[in-house]
Amino acid sequence: MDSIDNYSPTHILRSHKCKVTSLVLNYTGEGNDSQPTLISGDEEGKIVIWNLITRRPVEKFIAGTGSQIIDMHVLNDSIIVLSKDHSLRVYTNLKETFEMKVNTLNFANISIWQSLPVKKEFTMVCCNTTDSEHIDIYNFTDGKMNSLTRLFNSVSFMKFIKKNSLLGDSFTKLGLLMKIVRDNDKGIIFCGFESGVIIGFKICQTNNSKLFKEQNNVPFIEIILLSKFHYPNPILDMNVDETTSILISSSTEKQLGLIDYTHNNIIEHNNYDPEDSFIDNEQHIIMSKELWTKDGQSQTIPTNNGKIAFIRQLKNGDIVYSTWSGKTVVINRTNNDERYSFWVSRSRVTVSASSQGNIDPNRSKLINKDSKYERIGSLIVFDSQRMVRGNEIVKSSKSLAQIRRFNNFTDQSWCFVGYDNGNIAIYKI
Amino acid sequence: MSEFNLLREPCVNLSKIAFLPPAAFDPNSNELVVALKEVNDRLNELINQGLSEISCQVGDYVFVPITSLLKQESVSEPATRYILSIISHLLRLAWNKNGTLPQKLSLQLFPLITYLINPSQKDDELNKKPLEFKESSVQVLKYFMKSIKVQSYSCNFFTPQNKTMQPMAHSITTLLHILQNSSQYPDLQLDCLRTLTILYNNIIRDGETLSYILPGNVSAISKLLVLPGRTVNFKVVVQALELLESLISMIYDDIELNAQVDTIQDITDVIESTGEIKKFDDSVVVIDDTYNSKKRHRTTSWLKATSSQMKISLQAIIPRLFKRDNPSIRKALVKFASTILTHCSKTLLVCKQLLISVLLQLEEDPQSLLSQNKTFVKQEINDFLQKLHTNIQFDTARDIKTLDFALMTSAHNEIDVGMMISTINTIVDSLNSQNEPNTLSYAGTTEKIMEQSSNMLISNKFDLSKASRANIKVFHKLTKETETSLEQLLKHVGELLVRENQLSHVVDSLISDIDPNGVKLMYRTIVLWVLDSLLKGSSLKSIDANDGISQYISFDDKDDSVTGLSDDLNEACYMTLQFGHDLGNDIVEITEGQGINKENETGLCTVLSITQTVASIVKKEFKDDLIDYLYIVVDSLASNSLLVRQAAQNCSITIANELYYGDVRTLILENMDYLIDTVSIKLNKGLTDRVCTVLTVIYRIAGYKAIESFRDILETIFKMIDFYHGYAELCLQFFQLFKVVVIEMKHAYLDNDTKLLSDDHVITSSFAPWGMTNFAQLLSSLDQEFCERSLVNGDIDLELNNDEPTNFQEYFDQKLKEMNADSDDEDEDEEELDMGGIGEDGVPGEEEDYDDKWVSPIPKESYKILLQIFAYEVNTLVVPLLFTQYNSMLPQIAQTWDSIVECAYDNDYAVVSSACHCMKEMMHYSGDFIIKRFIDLWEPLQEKSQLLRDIRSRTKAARTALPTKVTKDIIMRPNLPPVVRSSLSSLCVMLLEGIALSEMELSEDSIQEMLEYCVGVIPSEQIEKTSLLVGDIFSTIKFQ
Repeated sequence: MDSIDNYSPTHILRSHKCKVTSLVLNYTGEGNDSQPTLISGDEEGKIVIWNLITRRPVEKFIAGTGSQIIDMHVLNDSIIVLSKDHSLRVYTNLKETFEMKVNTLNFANISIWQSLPVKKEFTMVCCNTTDSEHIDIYNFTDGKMNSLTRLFNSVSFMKFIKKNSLLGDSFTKLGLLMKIVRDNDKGIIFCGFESGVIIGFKICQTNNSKLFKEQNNVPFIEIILLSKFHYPNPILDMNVDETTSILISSSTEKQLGLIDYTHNNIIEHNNYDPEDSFIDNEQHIIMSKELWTKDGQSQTIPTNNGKIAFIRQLKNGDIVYSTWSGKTVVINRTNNDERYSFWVSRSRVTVSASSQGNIDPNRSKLINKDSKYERIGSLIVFDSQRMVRGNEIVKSSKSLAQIRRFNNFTDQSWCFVGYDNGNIAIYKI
Repeated sequence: MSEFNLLREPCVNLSKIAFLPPAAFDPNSNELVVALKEVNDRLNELINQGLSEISCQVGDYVFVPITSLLKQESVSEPATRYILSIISHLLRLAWNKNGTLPQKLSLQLFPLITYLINPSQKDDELNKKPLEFKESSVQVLKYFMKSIKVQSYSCNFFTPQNKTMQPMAHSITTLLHILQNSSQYPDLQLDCLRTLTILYNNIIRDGETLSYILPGNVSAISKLLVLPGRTVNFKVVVQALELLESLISMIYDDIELNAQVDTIQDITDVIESTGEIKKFDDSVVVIDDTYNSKKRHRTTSWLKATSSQMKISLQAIIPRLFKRDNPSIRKALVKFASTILTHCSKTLLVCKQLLISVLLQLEEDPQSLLSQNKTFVKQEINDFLQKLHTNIQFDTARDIKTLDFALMTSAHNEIDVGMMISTINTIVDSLNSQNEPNTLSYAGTTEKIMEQSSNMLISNKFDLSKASRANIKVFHKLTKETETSLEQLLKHVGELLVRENQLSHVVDSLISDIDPNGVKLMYRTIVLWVLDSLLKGSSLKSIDANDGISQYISFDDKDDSVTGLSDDLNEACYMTLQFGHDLGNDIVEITEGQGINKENETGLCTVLSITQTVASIVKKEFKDDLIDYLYIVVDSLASNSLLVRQAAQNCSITIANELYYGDVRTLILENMDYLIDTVSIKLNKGLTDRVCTVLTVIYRIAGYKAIESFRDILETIFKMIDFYHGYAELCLQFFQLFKVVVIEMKHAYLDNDTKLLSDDHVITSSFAPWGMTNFAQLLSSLDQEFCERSLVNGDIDLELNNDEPTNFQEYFDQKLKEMNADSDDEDEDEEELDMGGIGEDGVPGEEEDYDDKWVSPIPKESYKILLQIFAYEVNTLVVPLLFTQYNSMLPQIAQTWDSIVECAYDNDYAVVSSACHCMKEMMHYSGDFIIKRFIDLWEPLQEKSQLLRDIRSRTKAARTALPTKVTKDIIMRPNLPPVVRSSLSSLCVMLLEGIALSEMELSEDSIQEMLEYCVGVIPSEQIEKTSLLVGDIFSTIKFQ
């Protein structure tokens, strides 16, 4: 007999009872994190920490009031959780150490990093509290509830674009903030909007007195990328590869956008000449005119599937993406070959516990169409090529079998897909 | 003096003849014989009476006529025989103590006796003598020697001065001769040997003297012992060996002879006087002649000559004795070899190898001689290794055991890893070449194992508490004995390798060259079996226990073996386990959907065995490995093969013992995630063998929570049915599994609740709606009104038209609100409902609006599973569970009713039975909802039902067959075959259920028609009990 689905998962992690909405890997191959772990969060606020070698949960807890997990990050000992109840919570060593309110109405994620790791100081870019088209940038210190400071309040890129008439007169609205990703090496933050626009920027500190009306030492935003690639379709996901400086983005179309931003990062911000720049004095935003006139750095990768909700990149140039309908595909970036595609199909007969039954032809048809594949709530990739090989394992502390299992895991790249039914499927890629 | 009185008369009679003058004496006279016999008989009588002693005087008295007789020129042979016998009696009774036999007498008597026995000294003459004569001869010699033994002069009796040497030689010859020629008389032979033993051991006791008579003895004894088969009694053999042993150890005594093995002391030793290099032979033994100035018989040259002769004799004797395989002989041989090795290891250097091999083959070394002779043992090992291949081929367990023993003995100190590896390789190659299929036996081996229903496991009460005792035989061409001895050998080798930390190296060398695709499965099985045996040896403690020193001295470097496993063993374990596991997976893959053959079976058993072995070695550590290795064990518990199941059972018990205090259930429970994961992967790949059984086992053990936690498994199974609904057998398996799911769900949610929550929907009274007892029943009756209205509109299914979608719902909601308003003391559920409304807690989306309050104790998600199962397989069991959420059940009932009804028309009465049973359940639980359908059912049922048609024709036939005419009013019930009867019974039960529900709407004619079928099938009382109306109508039916 043949297999039911095209490519079966190697393993399935089962603990969630509902849609797995967020996945984050905690393993770099460096330091003391010798056991690769995966952290998963679901629709009901449950967070599970998995040991990927034993494939068992090591820790389970409910974040906050138990509402849907939108985004998770791991920074050293801290797990940062963004929940649908408009809360950002920091769990340090599994204890809640910080909480603040974040606008999550539009389901946008956040970008967060440790600006001063020693002092446990974090910087976060997120959706503005009142206007979902604007962004806020905060600083806070973990463990200190009153440490929250707003670095930037309600930054409107639309104002900047309008002021400098960058995207034409017909362009009037950026739309909701959809996605934020960050190049951690270069400190570039990319925001994707409902209109399909992607804006990449850096947060800088200036002592250039020519800028911003003689104000010295003010933080400002330096835009290094402004792309209309997906316009007018909304950005669904973005992913950066820090080593190659490639940003891949998706929308509802059957294509991926690829932007090489290597050259957008060259200008020393202290040398900005106001004459050659678009400047927004009010919001402290600046953009080099030269960068704006440069074009051709984007490239289109056609795909067989549209509505790509999740994108990840591998070091070998492969791209993994998942669609809204529940399909996950691995393609080679350079030749666009489809290497794998996998999904979890659902049984044809669907039932309803409703007292009305499901005999109504229109209604049942709808259900069947919906449930052809199990929907995907999250996607993450373990890239073996990014691992720092070598002294990752202390031999004496482990049995040979443990070492073998460890190597079996780390020698291989894996794709983790969180499904609607609560399963996290692990695929070999 | 009763002896004297007894003896006096015959002695007097004898004397009369004995004292006759020589001229008158007739040596052949019968009287003489009679007289002698009389004396002899009297003496015998005394002995038989238990007398052990008579006085010397009496003895002398009896001896007087004998002396006189002996002075005659000759006597006849019978007379001689009695004379000898009488003398032996006298020696035994009268002259048996020190001082009772004066030296003078004995010196006279001894030559006389030997003369009487065989005057000619020719063996031929003696041969001709009758047995009685020989017996008496041996007896007299025996008692003579016994008597001499206790005399004070015994040690000086046999001396040239006494002139006893010649008769002594004569008597020895006689005894040896009789010994050799009386195989059919073992007692006689034993007496000969005992006599000789007394003579050598107790009287002569001098190696130098004995060395003269040695060749004759050795030759005679070897001739005796090499006789083929079992001609010689084993007691004789033992006695002869003992004699030989004592002779040799006295004659070749190392210490007495001061023997030295000629070793190189100096470089000049190697150079001949001529300047050539001497051919050096380390078997040259030198006797130190200077030790005694007296000239000696036993010189170096004597030794050289006799020892090689001795070797030849022993070489001839020993194999013969091995073949007899008699415990006493074996014991004697061990003693023989041990004694000679102890006392004559230098003098009889040439025989040493032979003697060592005796000890090895008999696997006994009471005096620890083997460890002192390592080079010889090693030599033997090499010899055995040469023959090992042949031994395996010819199934010779004996020699394998010997090799094992030899290896063990030589292993007390250092071991030769190379030798171990070559042993292992030989075994692997031999087993492999033996298992090479030839055309004849191949047909047998590919035969499939008789399939046993995998349901056995489910139906039996899945007892995992005790291990099966059955032994698994791996190599069906070897006898169990050979297999066991090979295993034992390997275990010992393994034990040694572990001690030397060499096991992983050996394991690696064995498996690293194996290409799984390039070799046969059986070869891998053999290698695995060998590795398993080696690993099993790691837990043996036989060497240390035997090793005297290590008991008292603890070595620091051995500490790790006490606290934990050595890296070497650990590595060996996991390499082997991985190798085995790969093999297991390959077998499972090969046998998927094919059934298992002998070869696969053996392979799987070996895989399970290695898992068991490793689990017992690494103990607690194995917990981490269950992730990889547990599934195949549990999978094998569901195997079709009995042997595999047993092996799996043993293995799982071992693992449970190591990790879960022997509880296999906990083992499965705690690792359910891994098992389920593997199951799901298998299912996803389309592999279905045993999956259902494994799931059943897990579900049974873990209960419903396993089903709930791993819902996607069921989803996958639903998908499989979508894909493979043509495969009846596969679907059947799945349906059986569903049954388990439903049962477990029932256990989980309904067993504690004895009262079904929604019981109030069922109105027990038949006269609905007057018997309503609660509000819910009122609601149901209101529902019914609605139902009827839609039926009138032609909408058969209880479906809402799109243009008025919430009509009923609004109505219902309103009713519910009313209900809440009516009663303040409602339970919590309803309060919740009051506060939050219906939609909020329900599933999001459009369903919200339609949803009823969830009242079932079965959670909604689980309820959906039920629905899904019900959708795939209309299962009677499911109905009561669905009933817990009454309103959700109704659409399902509506949907499936028609197809069930179709089944009730079927030709297959078994199907009809189940269909009717199911319909009955549906009606019972859905109550008045189904009435209209039931009423509509009757007409088509009568028309289409094969069963009812059959009944009608049978009734008609029965009626015509009756001799007397019976009025049409009387119902006939012909005798029906059991199958038909039981189906009809199910149908009638269903009809009665329907009547009870709907009687007021059914026409009386219909009811009567229905009841007529029930007659004779359902007990009358039961029919009458249904309702008043039924009872009324029933009473009008006459039947016979």
